[in-house]
Amino acid sequence: MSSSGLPVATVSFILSSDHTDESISNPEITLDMLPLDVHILILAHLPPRDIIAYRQVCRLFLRATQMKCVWMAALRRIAATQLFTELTYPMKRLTAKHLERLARLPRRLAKLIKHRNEEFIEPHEIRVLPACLIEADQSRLGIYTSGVVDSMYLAPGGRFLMTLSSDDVEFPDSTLFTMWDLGLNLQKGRPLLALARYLERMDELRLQLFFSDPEKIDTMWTISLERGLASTRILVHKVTLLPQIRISLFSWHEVPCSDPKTRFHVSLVPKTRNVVLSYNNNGKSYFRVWDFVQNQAALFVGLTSTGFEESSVFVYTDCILYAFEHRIMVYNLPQLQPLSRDTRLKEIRPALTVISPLESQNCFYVDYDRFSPLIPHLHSPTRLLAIDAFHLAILEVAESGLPKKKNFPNKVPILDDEDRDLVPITDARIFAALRGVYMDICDDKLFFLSLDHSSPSASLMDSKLKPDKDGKIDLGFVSTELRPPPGVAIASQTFSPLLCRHCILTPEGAVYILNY
Amino acid sequence: MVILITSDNVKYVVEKDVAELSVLVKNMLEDIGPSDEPIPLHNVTSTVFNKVLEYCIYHRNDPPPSDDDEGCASPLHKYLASHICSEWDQRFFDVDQALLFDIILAANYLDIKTLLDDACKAVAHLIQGKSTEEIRGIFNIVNDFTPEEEARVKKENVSS
Repeated sequence: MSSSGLPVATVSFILSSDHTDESISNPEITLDMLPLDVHILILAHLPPRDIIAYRQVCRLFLRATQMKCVWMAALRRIAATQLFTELTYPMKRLTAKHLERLARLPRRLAKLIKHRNEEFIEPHEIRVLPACLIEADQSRLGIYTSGVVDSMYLAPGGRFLMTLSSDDVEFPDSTLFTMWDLGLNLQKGRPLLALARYLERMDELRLQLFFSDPEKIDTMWTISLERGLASTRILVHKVTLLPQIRISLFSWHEVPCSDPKTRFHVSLVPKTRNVVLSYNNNGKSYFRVWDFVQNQAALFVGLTSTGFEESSVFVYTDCILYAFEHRIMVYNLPQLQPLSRDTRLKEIRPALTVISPLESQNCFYVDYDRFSPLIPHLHSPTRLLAIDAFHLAILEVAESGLPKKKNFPNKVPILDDEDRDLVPITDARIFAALRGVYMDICDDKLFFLSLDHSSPSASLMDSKLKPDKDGKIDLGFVSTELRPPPGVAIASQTFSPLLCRHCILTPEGAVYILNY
Repeated sequence: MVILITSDNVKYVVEKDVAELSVLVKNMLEDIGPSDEPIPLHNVTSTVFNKVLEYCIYHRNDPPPSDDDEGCASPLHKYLASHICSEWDQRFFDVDQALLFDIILAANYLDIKTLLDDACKAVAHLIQGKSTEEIRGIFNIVNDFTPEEEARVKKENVSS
């Protein structure tokens, strides 16, 4: 009797056996002998790229990959890793073909960029958000005009757009929230629908974030800022998706800083409802971590810093990396306390300061693979790219490996390999592209959208950044222009690689939707 | 205690809560009521059942899997639950392919959802990042497409 398979615990034992190992020899089972149901279960653990490779193996595998549930699972994975609600996709109403197309859209975009014929790629459809609503929407939503759009945010997933607009005649001293359904880029000419509206009796609101709740699939949130004369307010609006789409004011929080020159940086602790607001005032960097559901917060002020304009703030679940010039300061995320009038500002020192190998003044940082579907584990190291005009360095962000000690961060940027040379940047466009806002990962390619308003560009880079046998790293960089329609200037823009969609807000307050 | 007999006639005495991780066994126990009758497992050999039992004993205290079809449980939690694989599980599934597939068939027959899902995850892990040719090689699968079919499938699925 072999003991290898039996566990140590004696909860079970073999009573008797007429069996010898040689008595039965099953013919060896192979993967293609497993039932279709099992193939579907296997495919549920694979991203679109692997499903496509799988389907070309043999007839049975092809049949398995044509099942609707396979693509439903693939889209659910995408929604989960990219942190947006799966209600973005009306799974029940869409056919298997449509679901597959949606799951594969990011790859199509990568292909478009790679095989561009011209120096730019052409959208297959250009739409403009309507200035007035269609009659049905008017009567349902009450407010007829759309006003002049001041700010917008495309929710992760690419389907829902929130706009904040003003109209001094129709609704003075107020801001109009409108949530739009831009569709899934599956068919041309689909109307752009206003799903919900909400009038906030506050002027000069600017939208900062629009995201899905990490727990509830039927809830989304917007974060906006109101720059007042004496203070700045962070406002949270709740968007409930079921049974009807409704927007309502949820909570707000006052920040005692009103300097109009101050630049606020708003971000979200991933997978939480904690907003991090950071700003620089009188040479110090201030941080506010606010859980807007529990109304708990931690307020702290970091080391004196210069050059905040060029700084980047990377928020993790356990620490904040604050990077500027060639320095990266790591702060532990403090314990949140119930917020009250007595909540004190704490002065804290970074638990760690890391010196980047690039000493140049204009060095900046890109959070490399935070939302990478390639690295699904919460605890995997992520990477920071440090870039100056001539070089690129890859800094691994790893678990510190130390037991959870007070005053020591859980994540520490480390140089992947001390001896590794910096990657020289030979193409000036790489610097420009990386300088723009890092957007997303399309399949195994990194996708960048440069925020240069005169010539927005979409770029791809190899996401693996693995050295070849000579120790050289090929960035595999390709870039292409995204052209606004003739005569359209860009005030701000946003892109969804998931749906191949580019949104442009003009200085006049019109919103263009370009579908690729 | 429950007595189970595998297809090669090996008798096992298993604690009830462990045995009932198999929905098949659980339903059978409910059908026959309290009795000392051994339960035959026609489609499982003892070699495979040893592995299945090892898994069930290790995971006996896990919370039961939820019916997550349209539930409102956090999608991220669901996702993470489907991806974080413990070291024990990794070692457990580090077996040759034939045994892995036997475990899958046994889990399917015995209706042990978590084992079936974890074993499928282990197979998915072998596939990840591989090309079509590599998958055929790893699993020793014959390409049964006609040249025309293969050309068509390829064309419809050109990779970027």
